[in-house]
Amino acid sequence: MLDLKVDLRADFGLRLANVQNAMRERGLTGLAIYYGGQHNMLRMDPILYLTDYRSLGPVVLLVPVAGTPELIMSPVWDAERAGETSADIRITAVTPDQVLKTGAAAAKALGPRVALSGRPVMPLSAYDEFTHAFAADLLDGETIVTTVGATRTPGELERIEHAASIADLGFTALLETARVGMREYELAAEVEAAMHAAGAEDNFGLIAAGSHNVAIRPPTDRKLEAGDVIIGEITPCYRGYLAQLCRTYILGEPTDLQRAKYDMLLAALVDGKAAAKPGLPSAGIARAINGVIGAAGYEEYCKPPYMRTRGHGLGLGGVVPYDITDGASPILERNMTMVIHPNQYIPETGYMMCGDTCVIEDDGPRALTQTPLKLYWKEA
Amino acid sequence: MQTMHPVLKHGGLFSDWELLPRPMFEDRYARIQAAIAAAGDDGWLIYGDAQRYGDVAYVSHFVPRLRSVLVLVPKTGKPDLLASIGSRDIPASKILTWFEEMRPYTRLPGEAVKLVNDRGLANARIGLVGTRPSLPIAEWDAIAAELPNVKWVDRDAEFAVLRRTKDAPEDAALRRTADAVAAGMHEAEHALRPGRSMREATAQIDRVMRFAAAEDIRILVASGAGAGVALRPPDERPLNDGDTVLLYIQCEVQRYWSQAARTFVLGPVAEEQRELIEHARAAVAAMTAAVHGGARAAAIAAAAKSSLGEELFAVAQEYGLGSGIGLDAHEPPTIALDSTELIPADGALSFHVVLHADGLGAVAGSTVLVRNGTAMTLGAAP
Repeated sequence: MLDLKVDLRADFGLRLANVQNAMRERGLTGLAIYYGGQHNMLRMDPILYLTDYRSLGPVVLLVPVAGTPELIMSPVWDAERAGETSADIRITAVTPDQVLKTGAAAAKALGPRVALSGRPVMPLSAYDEFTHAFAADLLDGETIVTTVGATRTPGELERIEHAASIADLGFTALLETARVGMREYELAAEVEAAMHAAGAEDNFGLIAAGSHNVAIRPPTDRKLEAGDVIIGEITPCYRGYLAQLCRTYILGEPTDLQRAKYDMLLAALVDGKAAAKPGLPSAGIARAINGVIGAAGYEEYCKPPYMRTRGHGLGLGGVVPYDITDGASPILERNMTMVIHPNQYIPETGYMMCGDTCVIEDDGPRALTQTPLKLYWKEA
Repeated sequence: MQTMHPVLKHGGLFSDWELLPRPMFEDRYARIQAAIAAAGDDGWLIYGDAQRYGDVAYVSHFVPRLRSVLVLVPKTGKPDLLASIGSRDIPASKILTWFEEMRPYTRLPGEAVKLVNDRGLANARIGLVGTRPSLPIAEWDAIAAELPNVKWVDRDAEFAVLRRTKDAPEDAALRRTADAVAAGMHEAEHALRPGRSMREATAQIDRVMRFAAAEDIRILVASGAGAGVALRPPDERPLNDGDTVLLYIQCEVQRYWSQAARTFVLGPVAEEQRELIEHARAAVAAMTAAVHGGARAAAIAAAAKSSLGEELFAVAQEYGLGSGIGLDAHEPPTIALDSTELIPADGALSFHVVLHADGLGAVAGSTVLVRNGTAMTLGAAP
């Protein structure tokens, strides 16, 4: 396990204080946060952020404007794990059918101005049950935690850095185990096993191969062939936090064309990273990447359906920026974390991938993934 | 048993049409359309997500690797499938379904409204399946607001009736998944050894099941001297000489789930530990023996209670005793004393018994196939 150096108690205290300050500014007396337990790379888990508990199922966190939050969780037998936290929280363990009723009853005690966060993930039946039991108006609290959590605390950064080191191990496993004749899902299993053993509890992992890939996709039962271009989006999760590494590996010596096109992507990544500085709009990253690739004659391939985004916020959800496109343009701040990836479909070579998870620092981005940037290959 | 949902189904995702042939889906589709007609509806909207996809997979074989999916089955004619993917992802996604057409969406409400309008159903009566338990309220509000003249009817119960009886090819799918779980359990005999972390051991177990084409794997463990602690996802805890390990595995292959649970002791087994393990195994055996078509789920739970006695049964109840299993890890009926549900003549059940007593722990569990009212355990008995 990572030898954590950050004072997590203080780290969680800071997160809670920032959320409670935001509540105060909005005139709220309480915030009820629902989370369904369906974890997602791009959706922030506000429960984990405030409690360090990665839930098995639906939970409700009640945050008073001052004082200690209460976590209503289930199943009861998981309360032991929930209690192993450095965050200052009270835990109430109930049976699954009591989470919403208990949560609503506790929310009533938060005062006259209670906001709800979680509608985007709250099923119809759960919403009906909660609001019926609460029986009063609920204000909109959707953006409070995501706004506060747009930049990473020291404790969060430590975990993302460790996740990044696991991603590097995962790609090493891919290099060592990929061989002609193995199925794509077997290769994914090798990568998964290496990262799991190294501490990853989860993985947003996509690995695909072919002589001409159209896009990244899940692994199938297709067998690897000589000359295959293997593309990998490796995204291990360490204690709730994710980091992503995108690379390309060829089972056979690359052609001059493949080398040239990959060099283009590497140049695009350099320019994209150069645009990732505090105070600048995130759209600048996408524009820089698209500039390099567009100048090489692939401007139309920098748009849908070929290309959607040049990266996204990553760590605990894609908070800010959600997507790195030349349209959306939040201002970058110090300690935002994101993956920058000029992954690209190229008509002559198919889809190729390169990308790193970065943290924005005062003088620009620092790559957390350390796998050298180059086109990988071995004799098939 | 509740397990940790992953950020993505990151195992092999493809369709084995020999295992689950297309005619089976065509038959199902015809049965669904007949049910729509019998209900007096013009069509059904079937919603699912990566966590609860069974309804959608039943009709389409499609499984969302993340986010959600919506299927429209009209009273007559071909279905439509809306998937939360980009248009460039369609070729890879179409191999997951027998449907000919698939539409991508970024935001569900707009595309769902467009679909209903395109199919001429803006003034229709439409049944909803999977919506109340899974569709986010924010998305439902947006859909309902744009389709004010549609009469919405909840059809979860009607759809559950269709899914209750397993089709014959499903036996093979359930067996294949059970084989993957059995392979994982077999690997555990080698992987669980002193001197390594639980994470390292479960990585080895997980790998074997992924090589068996698992789409999704969930593992819960408890370990230590006696293992008298609650189950949890694997972590960095070291395995030591003499440790007891409680291992629970859920696995999905070709959309079908299976589960099993076993207790391992890394050294000589103390008499008290052996007795507790035998209690857990005996309770699972008692539940299996109580299965017959038309039996009450409550009677199955009562069999466990009779086997365990009051005190241990109270502990086992905290974790639950099991449920139906198939396209969802948890399907009706729930095995509980207060259940009013019946065991189908043809179906599949998951049984598990977790016990803690005097600082010791034990677990046993298996997946049971019910055919013609008779139960048979898939894989090795716990």
